[in-house]
Amino acid sequence: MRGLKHARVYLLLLAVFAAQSPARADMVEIRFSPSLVGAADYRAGKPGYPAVLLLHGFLQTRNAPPTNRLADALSDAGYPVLVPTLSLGVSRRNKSLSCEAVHKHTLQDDLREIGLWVDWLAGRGHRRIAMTGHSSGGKDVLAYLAATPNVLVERAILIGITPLEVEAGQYRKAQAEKPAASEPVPPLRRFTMGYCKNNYAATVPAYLSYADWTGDLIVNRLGRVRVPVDIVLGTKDQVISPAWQAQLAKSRVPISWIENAGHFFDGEYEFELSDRVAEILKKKPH
Amino acid sequence: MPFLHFSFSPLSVKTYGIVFIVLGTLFFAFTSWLMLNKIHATQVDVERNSQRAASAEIAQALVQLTNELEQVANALGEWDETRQQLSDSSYYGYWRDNRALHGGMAPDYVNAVELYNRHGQPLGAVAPGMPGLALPLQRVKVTKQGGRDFIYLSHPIQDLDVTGQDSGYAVLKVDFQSALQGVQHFRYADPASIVLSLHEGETILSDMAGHILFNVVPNEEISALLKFLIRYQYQIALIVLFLSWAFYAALSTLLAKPLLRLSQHIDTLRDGHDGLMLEPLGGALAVKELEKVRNSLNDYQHQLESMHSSLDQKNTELWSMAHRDSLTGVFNRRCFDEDWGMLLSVADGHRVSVSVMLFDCDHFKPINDTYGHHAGDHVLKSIAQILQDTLRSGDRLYRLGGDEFATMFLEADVQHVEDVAKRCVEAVDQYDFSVLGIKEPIRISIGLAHAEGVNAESLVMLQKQADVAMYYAKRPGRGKIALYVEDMAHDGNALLSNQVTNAVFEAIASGACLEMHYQPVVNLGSSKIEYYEALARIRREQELIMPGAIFPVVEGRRLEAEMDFAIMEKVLANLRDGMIPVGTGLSINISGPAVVHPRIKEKLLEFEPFLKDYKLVLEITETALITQLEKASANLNQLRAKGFKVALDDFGSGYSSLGYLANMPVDIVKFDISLIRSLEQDGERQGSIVEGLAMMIKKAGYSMVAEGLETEQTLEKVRHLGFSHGQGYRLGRPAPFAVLPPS
Repeated sequence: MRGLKHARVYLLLLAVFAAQSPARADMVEIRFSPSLVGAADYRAGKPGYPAVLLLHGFLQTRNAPPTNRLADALSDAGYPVLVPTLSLGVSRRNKSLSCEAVHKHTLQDDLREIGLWVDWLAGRGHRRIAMTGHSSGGKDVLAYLAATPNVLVERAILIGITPLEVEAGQYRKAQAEKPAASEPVPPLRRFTMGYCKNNYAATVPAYLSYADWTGDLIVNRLGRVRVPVDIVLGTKDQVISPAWQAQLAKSRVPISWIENAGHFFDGEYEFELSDRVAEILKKKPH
Repeated sequence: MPFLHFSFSPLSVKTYGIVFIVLGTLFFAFTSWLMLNKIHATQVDVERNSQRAASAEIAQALVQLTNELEQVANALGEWDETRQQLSDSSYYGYWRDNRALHGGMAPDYVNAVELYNRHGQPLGAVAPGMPGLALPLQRVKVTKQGGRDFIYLSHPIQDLDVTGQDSGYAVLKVDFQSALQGVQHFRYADPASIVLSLHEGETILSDMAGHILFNVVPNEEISALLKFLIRYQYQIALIVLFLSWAFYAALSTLLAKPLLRLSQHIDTLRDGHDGLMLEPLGGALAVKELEKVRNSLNDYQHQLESMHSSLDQKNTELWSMAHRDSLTGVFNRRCFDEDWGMLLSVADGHRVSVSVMLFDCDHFKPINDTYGHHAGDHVLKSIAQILQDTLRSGDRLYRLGGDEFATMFLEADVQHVEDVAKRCVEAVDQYDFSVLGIKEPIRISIGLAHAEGVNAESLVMLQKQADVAMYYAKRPGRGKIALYVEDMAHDGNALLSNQVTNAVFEAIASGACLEMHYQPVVNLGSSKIEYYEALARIRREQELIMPGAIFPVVEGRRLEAEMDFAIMEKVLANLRDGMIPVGTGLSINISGPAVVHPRIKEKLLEFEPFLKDYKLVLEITETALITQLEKASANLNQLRAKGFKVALDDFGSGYSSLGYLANMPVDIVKFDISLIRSLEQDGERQGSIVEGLAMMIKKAGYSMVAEGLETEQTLEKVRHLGFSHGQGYRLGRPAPFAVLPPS
């Protein structure tokens, strides 16, 4: 009966949203280099609302759930929303990059692109920016904020944040084989990274740039970030291990649990996620 | 009405079966040929259609391949990783080999992928066999390399930054055959056979369809159907072969063999090798109709056997009737003649020893006349029984006629035959005939003839020789048995015996040799011839056979009536010829059998027209009258009424008494010659008796005729005794009318 009730609510909300015309998303681009162009969807919001920069998860695009739906929801709520797709070395990338593709990109490349997008928002006149990232995207937001404090950023919401799973042996070996920076084309290796099991084709530096962000590092960085950080997790998130949950709990970062939601907040939980994020965004930053 | 009007030689059931099997096999072969021919034609049609379908299929596959390659090329051009390579080809080799070819982007039939920059330069080392990219771009070209056909598809990758400008090019190398098989599942064309008609290294830029060579996939359904039908035909052929064999075996077993058995059985029945005692055809037959025939045949055989048995019995009876004497039961004359004929045929060319024995009862006629035929028959039956008992069991006794019997012996010596004859004579002598009321002794005479080691021609004379011997046996003092010897052949009387018999038969049959002599009967008062007694003679060549020789034969053969009829016919002829003087008369002797003969009145009435001119006297012996007095009296009285006179002939020679005379329908009493001769002896008692007897008969009113008047003394004596008529040599000898003196 509960499921049926939720289904009715979901259908009602669908009707409401269908009746309302969501804010039109404009694709915007930034040329990161002569041969690399990044793309993002930008939804103009209502005045007075902080702009929200939403980052997708590991190897995904801005069109992947729950980022795309959350963007729509926040836009509908009046928030200006910028949802970039990290290029991962692919100009105007519009599809998720497979594990076996050439992963030459590094976390630093991603943080640079994030910074450029934050700058883009600032350039659009947004003086209040809230950064939100899903899964690995949350880690990227955290890494950005930890590395590049920006006074315009007033809040960070990390949804389903989790370190990318790496194989310890590979990681240690990669660390040991760290190539010299002068090596022009380091060889590609196959690593375990997140859901890429031994098929993540990357150079060692590229691999290490992500693999270095272990759970401990994330928790460490959570404690060092100067803006308010909120974490939203689903109680049924299979990616979030109990050990990681325990680690997060120690970070004293507020965790907002969404009952029964999974890692991607499918179905009715996307609305709960939107509501929860919206609630967090309404809180005044201290 | 016959079923077939044309010449037709019937065939055996087996032949018909073989013909049927051959025709069936030909029909089966013809239908099989038709069916296979039809299937072959269908197969050709299907192959033609398959050819067309395959062409269309390949054309469609080419279109589909082209489209799919375009799509693959488009997808490749729009792929993020392709653009990544165009902007940074550091790991081009990895990308090409691992991502472009085997990353799921390109179908399996794509052999190689290469990227070129906008200037047509490859992003990395070109895979072996990949040609360089030449600009301006030729989208498609097909080349034969290493015996295989490859499609090279060059695709421009649009520059997203500069509209209308290409940022690079992708070239796909596609194995033509694999690609075709990859885009389409071929039904009609054999994908392995699809090749392009190119020489090694030859390249074409278009019109792939025009260069395609291919084979059509054999239509498995039709091929399978053809194989199935051929196998089916073989199976059917085997079944037909088996059924033919079974049919032939069944035909042979169920029809031909039973029919042959039936036929052989019928042939056996027809040929009669086993007689009609052939075992019925056993063993039930499988075919109902044949079983019916078998049962019918057995029934028919059973009926035939019954009929044959009945016929055998009838034949036996008939043979017995034909070959047995009805009175005595011994074999008859016919059987004797047949046996004799068979003996002659058997003896032909061989030397055999044969004896013929003839038996004859002495004085049988008087006995028969005295005691009647009934007693005479019993005498004959008794004699036959005695002889049969005396002879060996295998010896056949024949009754040749009257009181004459015969038997014959083969390979028996004379002494044995004579011994048998003696035993027979003695056996008859010892038999007591008084049980038959016969007081007189009855004896037999036996004539023997024997031929030792002679041929068949000699045997012919044996019967005659035995007959001659019989003549001797009957002579007084011969001991009743006589064996023929050569000397007897010169005895004319003996030889005559058989000649008389033949003459008698001829006289009765034709009357030609019968000659009538007439002896005058004289009225003793007027001394004139009142009438003549007709006396029969038989002329044989120059000899004249007298009654003494004729009538023993006639009586022995029981031919009295026939002989009397022949004589009457002769007398009638003489009367009609006017040979007999008018005013006289004739006396005719009528025997006992003739006087009671059914035709006697009819015959005698033929004399009626002559009664007005002639005195006609019928002379009948007293024995004939006594034995059948009633019947004879009836006939004679009717004749007397017509005007005939009846004379009692030979009165006094038999055993009759005077008591009979009064009852006899007679007008004249004719005294026997023995009585008349007794008158010649004076003082004899018999003469006195005759005299008294004559006086008594005359007194009774009878006319009396004296026979044997040979002397004047006797003539005077009988005239004195009152005899009205006399007859004898004194008054006239018997003679033909031509030599008779005038009356």
